Amino acid sequence: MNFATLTPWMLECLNCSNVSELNPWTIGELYNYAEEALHDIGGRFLLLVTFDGTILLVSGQSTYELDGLHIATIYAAASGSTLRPSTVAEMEALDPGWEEAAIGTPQRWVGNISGLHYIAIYPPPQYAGYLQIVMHKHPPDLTPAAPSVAMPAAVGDYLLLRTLERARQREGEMQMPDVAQALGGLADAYEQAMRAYYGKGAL
Amino acid sequence: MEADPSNLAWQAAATSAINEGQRLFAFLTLTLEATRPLDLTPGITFYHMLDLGWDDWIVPLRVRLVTPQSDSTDAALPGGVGGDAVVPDQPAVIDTLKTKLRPTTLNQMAAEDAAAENMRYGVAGWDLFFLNLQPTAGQQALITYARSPVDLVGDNAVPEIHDADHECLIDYGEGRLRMNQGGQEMTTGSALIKGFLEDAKERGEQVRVRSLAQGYDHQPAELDLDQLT
Repeated sequence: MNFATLTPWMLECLNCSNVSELNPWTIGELYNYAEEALHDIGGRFLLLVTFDGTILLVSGQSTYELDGLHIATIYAAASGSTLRPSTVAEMEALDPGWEEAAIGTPQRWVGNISGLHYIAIYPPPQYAGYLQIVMHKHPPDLTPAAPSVAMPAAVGDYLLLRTLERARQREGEMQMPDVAQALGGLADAYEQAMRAYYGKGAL
Repeated sequence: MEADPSNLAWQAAATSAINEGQRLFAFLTLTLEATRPLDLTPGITFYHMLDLGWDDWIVPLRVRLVTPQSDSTDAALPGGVGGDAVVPDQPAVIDTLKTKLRPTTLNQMAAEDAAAENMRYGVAGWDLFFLNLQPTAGQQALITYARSPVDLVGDNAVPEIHDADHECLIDYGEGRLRMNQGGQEMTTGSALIKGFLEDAKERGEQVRVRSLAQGYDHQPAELDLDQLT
């Protein structure tokens, strides 16, 4: 969905006929509002879930770096064999020396070893292969230079409403708190549907 | 902006408002459906529907696995590829099996792992479609899904949602345009939008009853309009 296709409608909602008439806002500021809304729902709802099968398993290596936008791992497999999810506490109870375990056939993945961007495999793989992960990801940036995000069309409308809400909350001559509240209420209807269809997120 | 149907700028704004309303109506009610085949690739079990060009994707409603049959005698046998029911289009000249797939989750898939015998499908997030077993060559997933409408363009365009719901689209369009003005206009506009949401809730409840009867895997959201600020 290309958010730029909504720009003329967004301008009209702010009673401007073109970008040069935007005052006191700028197009960059409006995109910031949209991006913040996208990042907000991207954490609160399970919207962007991706499959990554490109991480190379290295013999004897237990820790692997994940995508920078990773929020939570939902599923992991090593060369096609499903791994069981575990926490550090569970691993310590299972095997006090789990971090120095001998190589073998991977059985478990551990997601809370170090922040959001690393995953550990237990035991470390004996053979090279691929780690397959399904992860809840943070949405990408949304900017005038990169206005396209793969998302349902209705989510684009939701972002527009949140953008207008924030624009009308901005202090100044163009502030319209009543309009902002009404637009926010309408955006809430979208959130009810997103929660129902896609589920709650990890943040 | 003054309401003036002869003004091109007003026409564009009104069309944008109605398009937004129709997309919202379809999103809340799942009233628009489409069925398309997805070519499955052997060895590939995860598919990003939006990246694959299914731009109108909202949620899947029903998925069938289409398996080409080299021998029509075998095709007529019940059971299929580990599914629940065989639904041949034309039993006398059948050359494919259409097997309804039951939905699953990633957690269920992880629990079953290699023990899974029946192919199931799942969806995670807004567009990650997956299968618990690897497809074979020539197989397709025939996916019935709730979709977004095509945008209205030009004077002769007709909204895709049911005729009975066109009136509430007009309310939405008028309400959104009034809402932008603030003050008394916004109060009037908010009332129109509220009426639109009540109509969407009612239509969504009707679609839910129909979806349950059809055995669809997703139903419209249960809107709680009292929760809206």
